[in-house]
Amino acid sequence: MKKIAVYGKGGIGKSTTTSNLSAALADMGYKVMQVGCDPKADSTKNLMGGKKIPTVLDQIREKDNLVTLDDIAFSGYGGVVCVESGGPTPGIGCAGRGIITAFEKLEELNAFDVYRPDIVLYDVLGDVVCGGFAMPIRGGYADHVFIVTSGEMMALFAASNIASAIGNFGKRGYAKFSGIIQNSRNVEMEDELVRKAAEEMGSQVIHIVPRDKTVQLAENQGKTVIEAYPDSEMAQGYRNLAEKILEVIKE
Amino acid sequence: MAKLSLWLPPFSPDYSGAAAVLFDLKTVTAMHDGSGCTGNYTGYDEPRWYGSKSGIYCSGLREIDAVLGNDEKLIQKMCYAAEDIKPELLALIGSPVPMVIGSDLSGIAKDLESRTGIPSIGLDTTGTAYYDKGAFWTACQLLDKFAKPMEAEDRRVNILGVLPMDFYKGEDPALLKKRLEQEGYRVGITFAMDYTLEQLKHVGKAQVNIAVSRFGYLMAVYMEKKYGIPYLCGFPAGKKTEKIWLAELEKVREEKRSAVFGIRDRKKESAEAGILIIGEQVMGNAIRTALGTEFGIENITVGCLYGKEEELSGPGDCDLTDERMIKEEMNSGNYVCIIADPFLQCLKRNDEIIFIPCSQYAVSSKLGVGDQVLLLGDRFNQWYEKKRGGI
Repeated sequence: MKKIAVYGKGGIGKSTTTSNLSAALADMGYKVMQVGCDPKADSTKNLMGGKKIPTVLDQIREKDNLVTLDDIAFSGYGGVVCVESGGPTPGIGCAGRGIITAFEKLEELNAFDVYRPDIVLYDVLGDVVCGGFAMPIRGGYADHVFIVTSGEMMALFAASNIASAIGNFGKRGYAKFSGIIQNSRNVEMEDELVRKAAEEMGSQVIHIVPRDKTVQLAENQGKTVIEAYPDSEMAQGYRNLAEKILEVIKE
Repeated sequence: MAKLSLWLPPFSPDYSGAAAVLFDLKTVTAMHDGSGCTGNYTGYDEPRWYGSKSGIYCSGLREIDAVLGNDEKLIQKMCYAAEDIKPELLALIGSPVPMVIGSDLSGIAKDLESRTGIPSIGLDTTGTAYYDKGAFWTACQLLDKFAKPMEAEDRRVNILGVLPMDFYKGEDPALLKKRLEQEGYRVGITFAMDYTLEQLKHVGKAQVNIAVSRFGYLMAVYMEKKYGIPYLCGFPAGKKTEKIWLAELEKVREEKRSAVFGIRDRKKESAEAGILIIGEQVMGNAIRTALGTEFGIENITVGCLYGKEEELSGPGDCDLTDERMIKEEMNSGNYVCIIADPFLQCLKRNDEIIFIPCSQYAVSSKLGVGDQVLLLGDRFNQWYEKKRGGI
């Protein structure tokens, strides 16, 4: 089982990229599990036909200790097991601690032993703002971290923060920073900007996702590009990304 | 509000169990808290504390360090202490604040180990579980770090699950050790009171693990999987029972098949009111078995205060997870006699029910010391004869 965490600035396209990656990997025959780590709980929406699924924290709130795996894990496109950690009501509680609680619940219910995924993808909200958001990269969780960024300054700034957080945890046996996925926004000299930034972070761009309207069109249908437009160039691009990631994590 | 306690104090928590396991070792152990949890452990959960040289410290966590996640401060303190004390082990024990801010004590321990070269462990205790769980998590980390599988030595056994929360100063397990030695056994370790790291490294040499508490049982199951050592779960309370227990131990040793000792399935289907034993499950079972074997009493229920293991349960045994459940069971009309920690007596509403106090340090701490009971062999008979009254 390989575990991958996908980080990046909020709104940069992590969930879109991760869902398409999950769908592509599932089409390649892998058993995939995608865990959304964002109180908004919309990471897996496009794998579930546009529907939001009940979150782990919602179910704990409602059922306390009686939560079962059937309450929190749902089968999406290509048999991808979809889980959303969820979070507290906006304005109260602690979102980071919420992620920890959700992860502990998955562990307590032996989710990985039951579903036996080949690949687990954690789609993590924005920046590593507190201990909870570092949970997916801790020992025992993800083995590899990929950061999604565009060439926009704020996205690169967030990427650099995330990279430095991973670096700070170097001696703790945490996940390895394995590369940058460029989700293009058609910024001037974007490829060059991202390449340079990656170099400064001691990493490299493993794949460039072009900006393409099929992403929006697929999302309007509540689907991934892989599902809605399997023959499109964009779908092929996501398949290439999946292959590249498999190659990187194999190394 | 079901968990609200109006009469009872909170029972010993997981961080105290973790600290108790580390008490005997030459460690620098920091309980990562402001000082309340450390004070709770040293003041109420650890009868060995005063006058000891144990290396359990408080990290002195302050609000700003928690808010900023200033792990480096903790690491530096540990490094200085390590230089000074030169311990065999560095350990970090969690408490509610690190739990809430998501401190990764296992990760910090890895960092510590790489900086100091001293084996280090981090325990994600939170104060929300009971002592036996904290003790078990700690034991697993110690075993994983120090104890390799080894060839078994003839007639060597380990006694597992000895904590002050269940055995106060450990007199009963010490007597059991002597008794086993009289029978020609060699006791490799009495875990986790009165042991050394060297003994821990050789736990794999035992032919049988003897589990004398729920903590011991959890550990024995873990060790059966890890080292293939079979276990006997149970304690020999009662004069005749002791002989039967010794025969059962020999059987486990010869057949290499684990067993749970005692009477659990002979609960009499009767309208007559019986006896309720409330406390830790394995010692509760030991008292039940002794009452059955020595005095012919069969209608006995064990109520578990800290959690109930199905493999150790008899029909009707119950998991008493909060004060309301304890009170309801005690006053259910099903019992003429209750054997429990003296603190529970105030929950009894019927004066006709006989209450026999049997202290557990996890419940009444220093205030229950006068009702501590030795149960090994004939000592049980002597105690019960004195206390039984009209039963």
